[in-house]
Parts: sequence; structure tokens; C-alpha cells
Amino acid sequence: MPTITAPETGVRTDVALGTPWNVVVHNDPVNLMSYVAFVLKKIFGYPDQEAERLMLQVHREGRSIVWTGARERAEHFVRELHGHQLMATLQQAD
Amino acid sequence: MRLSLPKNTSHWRLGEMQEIHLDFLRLAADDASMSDCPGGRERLFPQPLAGKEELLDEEFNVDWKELITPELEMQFAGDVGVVLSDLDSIQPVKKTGDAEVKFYRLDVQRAHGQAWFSTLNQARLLLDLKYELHDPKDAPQEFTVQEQAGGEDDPERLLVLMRYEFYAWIQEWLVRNVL
Repeated sequence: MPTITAPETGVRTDVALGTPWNVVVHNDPVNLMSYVAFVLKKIFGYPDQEAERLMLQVHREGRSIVWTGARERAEHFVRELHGHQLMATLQQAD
Repeated sequence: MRLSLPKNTSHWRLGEMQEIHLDFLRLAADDASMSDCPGGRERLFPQPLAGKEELLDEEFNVDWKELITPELEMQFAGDVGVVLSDLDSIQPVKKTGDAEVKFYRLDVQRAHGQAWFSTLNQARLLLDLKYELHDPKDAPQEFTVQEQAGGEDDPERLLVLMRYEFYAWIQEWLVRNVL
């Protein structure tokens, strides 16, 4: 009688779709503060006050988690941020 | 030089420009070139994963470099192309009273605002790397332009700092008025 084994799911636990991911914006000495806030409003649709808060966090603390959610959307946002010449990375949420 | 938004038009204007302003604008494309800036690619096309995330998914950065980076390269080069094309339309302006000083004007479509911002930003990012305008040892929140290396002993660096600030001035205006 043949042995039946469970099929592999093909889903790696480390990049599983259910795991939330952070989009992190990093400080750099060149990008204007007004531009960073503008880009956060444009890409994420944040109101002025929230975009300003996140921008100041980037400026003062060196980085800020600007969005958390599904990996695919996080990748899209990082691509958009790079397209606006901001330093951004993906990071698995704790 | 004066930046303005003429009423009832679809363009913004770089007005009352003198020769030095034209020289600076024409240098923006060169300043945005990565040819003599080894760290330029890393800055303009950064990896999306770093640290432990990179170790968990090494292939992702490779795929990103193959698929996304060429798109961004095209986009950024296209932005520089828009600016170079716009610069061909600079017009001399006759100004009464001071015949010795030549003035120029350039009207740019509002739709080109992002391309102008991008080009000037590329130029500033790469000038910063090429000439080490900011001390990398500084804490992230304490960047200051290193002007001490400028002055008479290094006129090239002084001109670089002038362009860096000139581009930033235009960018600040674009963010507030055009983008």
C-alpha cells in the first residue's frame, strides 16, 4: 500500500501572507521635510497633521513606521516611496 | 530670480533669471548623473529588505533589482529628459533701465513640476554623496552642511554648495505651489 504524505503548502512561515509588514521610512539629510510630508499625504492619503507627525518622527528619530499591513501592499508602498526618492524598507511587524 | 504662478495659465514661471541661474539649471542634469558617483545607485535604488528580513528572503532583493530598479531608472532618466527639454525654451527678456544686465524667463507646464522636483532632488542627492556635504558621523537628526571646506581654497566646492541650496530653494517652492 502506498504511503500517503500531506502535500506541502508552499507557504513559508517567514513571509506568510497573514503576517503584517511595516513600511519604514528612514531619515536622510537631503530630502526636504516639506516634501517628505507631501509624499506621505500623496501615497497614503494621510491628513496634514498625521503626515507632519510621521515626517517629524523620521526627522527626529531617524525612522518611522508609516504603514502596517499585508505584504503585497507594503511592497507596493515601498516601490512608490522609492519612486519619490525616499529611503524606505519593509520590515516584519512584531 | 523670481518663481511665480501666472494667473489663468497652466504653467509656472522661472522669471528674472540671470546667466548664473541658467548655468546652474543647465548643470542640474550633470549633477544628477551617477557616472562619477559609486554610491549613487545604492542611494537612488535602495534595497527594500534589510537586516533580518533580508536574511529571511534573500531572493526578494534580487528580484527587486531585476524588476523594479529598471522601472525607476527609466522614470528618473525620463524626469531629467523633461527638464533638459524644457530648458530649450528659455527666452531672453528685455528689461528697461539696465541695459547691461540680461534677463531670461522660462515657462514650464505645471504637469512637469514633479519631473523638475525629481531632477533637482537627484542632483542634490548625488551632490551630497559626491562632495560629502553632510558628515556621515552625525546622528540622523543632526545633519549640518559642512561649509567649512568651502571658501577661497576650494571654489568648486563653494559652487557645489551654491547649486545645492539653489536647487533646494526651487524644490521648496514647487512643493508649496505646484506639486
